[in-house]
Amino acid sequence: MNSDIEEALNGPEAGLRPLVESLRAAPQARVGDGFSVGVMAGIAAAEAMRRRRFALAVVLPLAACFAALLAAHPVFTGTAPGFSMENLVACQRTDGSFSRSTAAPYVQAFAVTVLARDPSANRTVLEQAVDVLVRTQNAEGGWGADARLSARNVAALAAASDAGVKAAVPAHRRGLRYLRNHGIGEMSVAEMARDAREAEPRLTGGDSGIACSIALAARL
Amino acid sequence: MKDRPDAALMHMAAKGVTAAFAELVERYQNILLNFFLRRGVSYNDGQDLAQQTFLRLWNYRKKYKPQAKFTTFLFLLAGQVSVDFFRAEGRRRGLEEDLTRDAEVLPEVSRETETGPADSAEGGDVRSAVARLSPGLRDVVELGVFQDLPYSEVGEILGIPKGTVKSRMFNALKKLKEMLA
Repeated sequence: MNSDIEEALNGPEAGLRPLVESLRAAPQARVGDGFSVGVMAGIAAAEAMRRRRFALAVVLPLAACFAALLAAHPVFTGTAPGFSMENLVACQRTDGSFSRSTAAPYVQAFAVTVLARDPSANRTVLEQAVDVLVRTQNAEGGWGADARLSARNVAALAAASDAGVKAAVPAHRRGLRYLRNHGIGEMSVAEMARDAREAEPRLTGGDSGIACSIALAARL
Repeated sequence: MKDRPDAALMHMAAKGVTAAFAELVERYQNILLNFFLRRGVSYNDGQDLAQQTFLRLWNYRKKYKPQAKFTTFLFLLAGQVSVDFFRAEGRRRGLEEDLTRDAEVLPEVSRETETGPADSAEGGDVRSAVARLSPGLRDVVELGVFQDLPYSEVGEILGIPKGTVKSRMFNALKKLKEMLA
């Protein structure tokens, strides 16, 4: 018995003690068999309902959005990269470039290299791609302040020259001169040339995977 | 599970341990059933209301703060379930009366008056007497006598000062003494 009521029943309300004791001693009803099992089953059902509601309200819409995004991706629409030269060609824009992203200069060098090394590549596509490199080459023969980019562009122009693209020949010569005159930073011309050569095997040889990478980069 | 205090079990239930919650159900199922029976509901309604209270307790388990007494939390929820039930019951009865008046027929209203398996005449008399008290007096007896809660906790659950609990308690006991004499 709690001390509050006990205190009162020991004092002026002592006459009520038998009543309180009889109230407490009165038989108590008991729940039927299986009551607690029923409660827990009800809770399990409520939880299942909550999970279903969560799935309907959150997970399914998110999954639908994700599926829609995936479906719209060029890989799945078949509008661009399908690991083929055709898809790379399909990515070319009307000005001859392949991308508007910040990686566009690199994409252009890679694309020119791949197109120049593949005899089956569309000649016009290659020439338009080379024109972009020629247009963006500065008066000194380089491309901005990034020595690696200049080295890669020179390598791309070399490949285009070898493939017989006439516009590539003087640009390649100016680019080589630039690389000789500008050992930018710690990087010597030899190192730049090695960098370009190291990049080359990953970019050439008609590798359709590389074509796909370029096409994907162009799409991003 | 058997040895753990209520607050610890609630804490575990809040983390999704259903075995801990099942133990709380075992501990309080008969207490809640009698809580509702003393409000004058039938045995079946009492079981339904006890079940609803446990479902509400499960839904609110993350709101429970371990520093609060578990019984305070439980009886607050039980009180809310009871209020909701009698409000709905009042609407249902009002509708029945309206329909009866409209039809100008007096059908036999068969309210369930079934008793529980372990019920007895003595237990029924006490419940019936408590149920006839006004809600303010009945709640004080329910929590202070049957649940043996200290006046401070009774006051916290009912939202009244401790002094009011004390005065209501002895008014209620005097009335019960007369009823059961």
